[in-house]
Amino acid sequence: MRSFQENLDKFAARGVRLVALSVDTPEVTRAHIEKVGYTYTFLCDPQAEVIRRYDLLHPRGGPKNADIARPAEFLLDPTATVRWVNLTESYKVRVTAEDILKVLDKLGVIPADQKK
Amino acid sequence: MTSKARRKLAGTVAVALLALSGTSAQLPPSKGAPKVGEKAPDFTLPDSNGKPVKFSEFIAAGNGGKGSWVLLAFYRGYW
Repeated sequence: MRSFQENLDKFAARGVRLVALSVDTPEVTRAHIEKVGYTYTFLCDPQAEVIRRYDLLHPRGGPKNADIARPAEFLLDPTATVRWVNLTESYKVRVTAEDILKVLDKLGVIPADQKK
Repeated sequence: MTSKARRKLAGTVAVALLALSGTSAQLPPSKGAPKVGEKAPDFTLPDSNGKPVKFSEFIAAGNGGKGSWVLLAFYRGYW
């Protein structure tokens, strides 16, 4: 997530906005992102309703057996259609901003000044 | 039983309980997650300031109202 923040300008140059989502409450989320300096949009799903709808629930996967989301990333186009999905097999394998920028390039989502 | 043997037994029992408890670091298969070509389900959730955000409107409002691409990243939380 730090790599997302550090590359925010590269996403913005492609008109791509970032949204992060977890079971953390707004209070917990705000406290943390203010501390670490994340400026993109964070949405809060303490009941894991959206997480369940997306079939991303990791039952008892968190501290004290809390239900949490498993990590997953989706690239959505402006019609909200899924164009790329990343469901990692393991917490240890995390996708980076660079990985996603390469996917965007392949999908033709490139900076405006590079378009012919 | 010596205290060393008791500790070893406790450790073995703990591992066995963990294996049986279903708590695992293994990630679920998430077969029902939205796939490429499908529409991402719409929803409304509060942002970190507590303000409700309707996801479809968030997407549509981007890029000066023309709609923007979005990277939607689910993470485990509990920083």
